Amino acid sequence: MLTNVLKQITSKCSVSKLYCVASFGLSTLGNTQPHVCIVGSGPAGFGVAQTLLKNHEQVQVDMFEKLPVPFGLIRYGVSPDHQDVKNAINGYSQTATSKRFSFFGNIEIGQDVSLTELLSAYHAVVLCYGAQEEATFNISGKNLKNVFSSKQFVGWYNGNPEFQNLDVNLSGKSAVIIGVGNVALDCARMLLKPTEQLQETDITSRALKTLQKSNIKNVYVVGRRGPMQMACTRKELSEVAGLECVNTFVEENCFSKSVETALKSKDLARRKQRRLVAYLQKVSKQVKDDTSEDTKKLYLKLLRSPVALESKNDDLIANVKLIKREMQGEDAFNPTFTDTNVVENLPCDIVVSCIGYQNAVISDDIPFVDGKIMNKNGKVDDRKDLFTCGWCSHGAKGVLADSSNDSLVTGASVLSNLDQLASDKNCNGSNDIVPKILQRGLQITSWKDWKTIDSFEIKRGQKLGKVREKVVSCDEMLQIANEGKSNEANTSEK
Amino acid sequence: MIQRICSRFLANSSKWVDNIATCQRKFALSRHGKVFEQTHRGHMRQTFCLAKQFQRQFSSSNSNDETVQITYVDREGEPQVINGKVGDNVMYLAQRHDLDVEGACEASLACCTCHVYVEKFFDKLGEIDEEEEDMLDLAPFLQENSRLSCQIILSKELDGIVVRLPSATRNFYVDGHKPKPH
Repeated sequence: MLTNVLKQITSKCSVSKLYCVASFGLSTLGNTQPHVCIVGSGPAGFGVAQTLLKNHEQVQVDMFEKLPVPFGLIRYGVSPDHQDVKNAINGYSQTATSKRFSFFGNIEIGQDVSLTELLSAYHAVVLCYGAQEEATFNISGKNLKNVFSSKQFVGWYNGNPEFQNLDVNLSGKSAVIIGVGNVALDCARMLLKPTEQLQETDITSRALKTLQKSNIKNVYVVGRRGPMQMACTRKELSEVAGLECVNTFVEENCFSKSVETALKSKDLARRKQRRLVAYLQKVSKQVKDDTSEDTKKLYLKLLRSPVALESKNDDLIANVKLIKREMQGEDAFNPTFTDTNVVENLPCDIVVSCIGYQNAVISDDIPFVDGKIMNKNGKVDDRKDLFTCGWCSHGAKGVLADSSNDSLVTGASVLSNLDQLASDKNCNGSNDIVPKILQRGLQITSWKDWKTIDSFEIKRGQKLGKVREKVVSCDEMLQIANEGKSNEANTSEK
Repeated sequence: MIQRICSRFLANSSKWVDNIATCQRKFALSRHGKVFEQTHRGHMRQTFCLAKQFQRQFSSSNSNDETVQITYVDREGEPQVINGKVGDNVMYLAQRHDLDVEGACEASLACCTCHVYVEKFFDKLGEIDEEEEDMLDLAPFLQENSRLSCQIILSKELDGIVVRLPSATRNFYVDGHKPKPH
């Protein structure tokens, strides 16, 4: 009877409306509360949590995070001078106030707990752990001093505990950034932007100090392909090239006839590239006053392959050897590239390679192909209770909007399987897994612990005139959390 | 008891579901939909009555001079007619009515999670700022009538505006484009 009712209703109403009715039906069928586990607490993780909690009346959502603190790339990827993007944290924190949401920080899946253990404790597991590995960069000299990957460099200025011991030396004049994506432009901007514009952000004090003493005047951004293949956006480029103190240079031959034709195209799918290149063309023509001491230079070196990183006599980076390339073909959106014999040397004092990220393998039994977890609409191939969302599901590509769109898709996949999964298996989520974790002597941070760390960071920031001064060591984070707990216990005793 | 509720559902199921949805919106404690935390059957019945009341309240506000009617077509294609007011921000209005519009950056033009298609009155919206264009560069499923809903403020002139939320679909390489190694 009830099933019929539900069927009739489902045929008439949309997915989101369905779930309030479906769960109403569920309560009469037996009271199995579905337990879902989300691995990772970045935009994809919180997006899925939000979708599930909003559209299912009973689901319990537990989120596991490797670090003691949440928000993944929002906290450790987004640049300090992009504070507006970090407003997303407010929405995520709102989601976390749900009684059916729990946060378990400082627990690494694949290390502290295996995926198999999680799967046996939960009705469904959603992998949202991003793409944490640096893409492989095969070039001689990559281990020289003052050569960093974007993961290291971004992690350094953003306070990622893993990269706080990085010895960044900015005493030289020239920096080379390899790659032309948004991360590359972020790094270029951090090196060129007047530090007065950074000092009130949540950049770490240590990185700020190093940047304040920086002597970097020239930043070369090197890309293998042509202008239409740059992966950054107009906004990112304009945030560097538009700086009062920066002159931008790009070679004339980048604006070939085919590029001119491409600029006139009306194709919406190419809009992003067209706006970017049109902007580049504009700024390359405006040369600002460069007699001033403060003037810095941004050189876009497109159509060049880095072939070697070289030092002089020591193990310190001194030169990037490039091979010039040529672009052929009528269609600037899809040209062919050929290497020439022309070698170019860029003397430099620091190199940051920003060539993208790839997926980490946290368990041998996840189907990986080309660094992506094989899935359909977020449901991992050939698995009934394993889902994925965000960068680990499709590679390191896309911005916040893509992740939130993605989380609606994965969320819907989870929801359409969830009640079945919950009735098939008897498990109790965190009640099953947490005792095991504690037995292993591991410390778990809760959402409350994060709030303690959060207010500590904000208070410390206020004293320095910054929005926040991040705690940059995991041990210190755990200590602050513990102190918060014992303070609270003392207050309640009194 | 269950039978009675069921027969009510059968009588006009889609209407009831709409009522629940209206009521959910009214009960929304926050834009993140901490709705209906305490779902019990008893509450459901109460809810039905409340839903009716809310609907009456809704329709009575039509006469107001400040009212601007806006239709949101949700991600499943269902139109929802909402009476906003002059000066309402289209993104926040959608969130107050529990529509799936994220608006992660809180209208600071730092993301494009509130992207919509303006199906009616696109031309009445005036020029788009460069900053909004920059964000639209990143919007999944961009169309000619794409806008960020956080940049649309209701005015009397926009009475009857229709905006559609892009459907939630995987957007990677849907155009058959495959990334080539370079």
